[in-house]
Amino acid sequence: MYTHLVVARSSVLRRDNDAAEAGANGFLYLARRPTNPADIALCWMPAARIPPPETAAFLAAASMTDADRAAAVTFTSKLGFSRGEEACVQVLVVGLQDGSSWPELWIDALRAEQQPPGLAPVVNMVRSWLRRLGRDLVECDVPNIFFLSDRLAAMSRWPPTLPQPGADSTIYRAGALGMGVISSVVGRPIATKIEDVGWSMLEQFAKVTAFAKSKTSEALEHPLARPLLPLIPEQVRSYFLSSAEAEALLREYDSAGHYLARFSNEIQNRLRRRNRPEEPAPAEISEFVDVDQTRAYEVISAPYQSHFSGMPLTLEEWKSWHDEAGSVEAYRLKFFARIFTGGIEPAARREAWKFLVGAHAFASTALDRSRVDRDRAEQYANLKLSWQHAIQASEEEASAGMGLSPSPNSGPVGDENENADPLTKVRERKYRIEKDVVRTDRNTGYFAEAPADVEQLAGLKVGPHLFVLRDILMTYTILNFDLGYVQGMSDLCSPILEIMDDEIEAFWTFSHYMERMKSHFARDQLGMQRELRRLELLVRLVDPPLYRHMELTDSVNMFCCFRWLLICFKREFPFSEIKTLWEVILACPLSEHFQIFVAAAILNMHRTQIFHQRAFDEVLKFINGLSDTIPVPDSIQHAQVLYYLARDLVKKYAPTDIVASLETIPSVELWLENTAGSAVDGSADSGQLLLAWEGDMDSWTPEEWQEVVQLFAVPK
Amino acid sequence: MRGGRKALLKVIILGDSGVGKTSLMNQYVNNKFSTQYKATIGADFLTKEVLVEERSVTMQIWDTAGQERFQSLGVAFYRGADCCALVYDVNNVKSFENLDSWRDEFLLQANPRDPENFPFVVIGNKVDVEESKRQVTQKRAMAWCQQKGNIPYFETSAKEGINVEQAFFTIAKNSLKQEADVELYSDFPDPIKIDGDTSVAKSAGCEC
Repeated sequence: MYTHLVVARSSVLRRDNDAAEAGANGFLYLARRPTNPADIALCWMPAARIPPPETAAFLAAASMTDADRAAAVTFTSKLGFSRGEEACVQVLVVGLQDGSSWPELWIDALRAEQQPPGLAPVVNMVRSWLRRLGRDLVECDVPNIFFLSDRLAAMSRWPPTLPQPGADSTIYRAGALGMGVISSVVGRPIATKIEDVGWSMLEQFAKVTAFAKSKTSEALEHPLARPLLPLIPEQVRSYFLSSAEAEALLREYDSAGHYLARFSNEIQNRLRRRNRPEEPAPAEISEFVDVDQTRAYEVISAPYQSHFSGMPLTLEEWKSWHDEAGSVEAYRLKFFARIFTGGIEPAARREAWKFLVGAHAFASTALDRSRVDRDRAEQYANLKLSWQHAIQASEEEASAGMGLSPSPNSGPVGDENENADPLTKVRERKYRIEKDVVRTDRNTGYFAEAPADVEQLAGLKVGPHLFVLRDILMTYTILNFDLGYVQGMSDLCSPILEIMDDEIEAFWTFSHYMERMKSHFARDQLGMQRELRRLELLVRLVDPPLYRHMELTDSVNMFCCFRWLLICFKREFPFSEIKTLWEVILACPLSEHFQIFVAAAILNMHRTQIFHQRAFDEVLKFINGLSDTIPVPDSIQHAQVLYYLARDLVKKYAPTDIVASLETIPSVELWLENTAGSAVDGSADSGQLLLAWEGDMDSWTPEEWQEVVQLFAVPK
Repeated sequence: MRGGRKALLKVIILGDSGVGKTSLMNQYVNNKFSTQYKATIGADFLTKEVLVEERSVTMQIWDTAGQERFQSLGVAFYRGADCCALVYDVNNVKSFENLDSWRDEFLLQANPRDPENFPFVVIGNKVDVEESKRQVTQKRAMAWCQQKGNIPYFETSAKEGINVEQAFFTIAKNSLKQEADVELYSDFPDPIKIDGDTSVAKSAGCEC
């Protein structure tokens, strides 16, 4: 939580196109986490939201002169929110966590009524702050977006430690939001906001509880009303609630500020839409009162940090881990931790993937591996020949008029008949695989159509790599004859073929990857049912309001996420990015089922929109439409945060014997140092947050806890 | 308002993998054909507004995966279907022979009120392919349709846009007819019963 002020500037006004929002006076400030002084966030807070006793601290921070600044602050972590293709570049985006940009801020706008100063003075000021911390802001060609430079100037001894008010004071709880969220708090006086929407909302709650009109306090204690509490003036609040009750409620809502932020964001959006009728409102946003924001990412992520830095394992690093004989055993832990926190750079993928999927052993020497490779090449050739011979025989049979079907091209494409003879199976598999291979990534660079004199596959002209893909899949159905070919396998194989760019290496890497994935494809579909059930339980654990909404919309069977899990999100992200996500999932040292956390995270990231889908078909359509719109780094970061939250919830609410059965998890930080060690569980700051789940945990049965604990099975 | 009748028609497209289910749906809704479709995984749908017998209705057309083992999901997708289009590839006899099991599977999973009279439509797709490749004659297909209770039959090309509009129009028409028939037996009460016991309706709705 960013609870400690570093430096502040008063009279920073928020400018908004919306006339009603203009002129909110506030503080721009840097705040840091007490637990990690290097982690600093840029925030803006309207003055009206700061209670009088705490204003002093802001004023003190704002009135510091250079001479006052004695204490040094190191600044090593990234500032603000990083996003973008080059994940390893630290970026300061003057933007909100949801991707929109910051509202324009003015400094001393009251003194410049004629000519508003705009964003430039704000940027200059932030830059001067950062320069004192040994960093700088660099402009890029996108307006309002600045890179945080890596320039490490000598640290000046600045700023001093300020007198900090109590860490549990309201403003500091609200100030824990970090950059972005806090800035979405609109600066209009609270009273007007209440006037606009507050009362009408209260009226709605009154309707809900019409059967108990005398008990208005119950209405306010209703979960839907809770986000409103911070908005209600003290006097009004105490009118309904004894102040002890009100305080307790507010305390329970540690992150009240988060709700306020989200809440006012919604109000702003609505106002903006109302004022600009030419911009049609997005259909999915209707009545925000239905949306319980208590499990929004901004809320649940406050006490947690993700491991994902976006800095991939480099080829150089990877090479440096090999000893003289070529073994990487000494760096096994670091290997997984490094990939879990950043994926693998393309140049290092080909070799690293073989270890990642278990095709090569860490302890093997280069000599061992070349022996294995030689054996495997031979084995592959034999497997491949066996189906090629079968196809040949079948074609000869057909041309001699003995075939079961008029042409070898006429296999069934429905599903395999278990009782068919092997020759028929092989022939039919080839037909089915070719049907799918030509529909697999045919438009991506590696598989794109070849220019001239190309052969035809399933009636289409395709490039040579799709023929290789077919051969690998055919050979795999010989290796795993009972499983056969099932739709979706071609999607899992194509990125691996692109990485390896070699038929035999791709085959063996794919085969090892399939050891993890093959249960998804079994005829009885039990593997997929288990995956969907796990996702259902995880959503119910971490986001009960969303779960309840999915119940109402017949969506808790999670069929809407079937495609995500069957082929591990292959269709949801661009071809160029899916490899990073797979690497993180395969390397995850914390859980064998990290893909379930990724799925729950994507649902949580889009929960507001999902709340506006009113039936199963709408939910499914919305989720299918997310394809290619989700950023990979965000999904990974959210999933990592969700993992720790889920684990904390299990530890707090599951029966004792279940908690005792939780495996100890490794410390990713220690593994990054290549030191074995287990993590200290739980976040020191999460206690308050977890209380919010109390009412939702009564319905859990021991069997369900038992199931959910499996999500934390640590890879061996 | 005409009773509780919904303006949404739910149509399920079934058939073997690669017969052109996605292409048919896209040709009908978007008037587009692409050779770049991926094999459908899970399910998806498109909607289209159509005018049938002076009524404007929304058709919701569901496209599902063609590999049979994935049909265990079917029950969620088939529920409330108003019509089912069985699709095969006229150049692939096996995809035609599988129509029987697709039909049975649908009736089992969707469990419609009146399975005997549930509206199906059969579509033989890919008639644009050269005649020498054709494996299922029109005569054979029509015989099957007749035997299954006079199912309407269409031969289409999703690629060339041949007969697609006509097939879906019949689907819409028959779905509506089915709906009208079912409505007579509807066991879902209307919010306010006009012809029922008004005092009961009143006390249920207005006494607070």
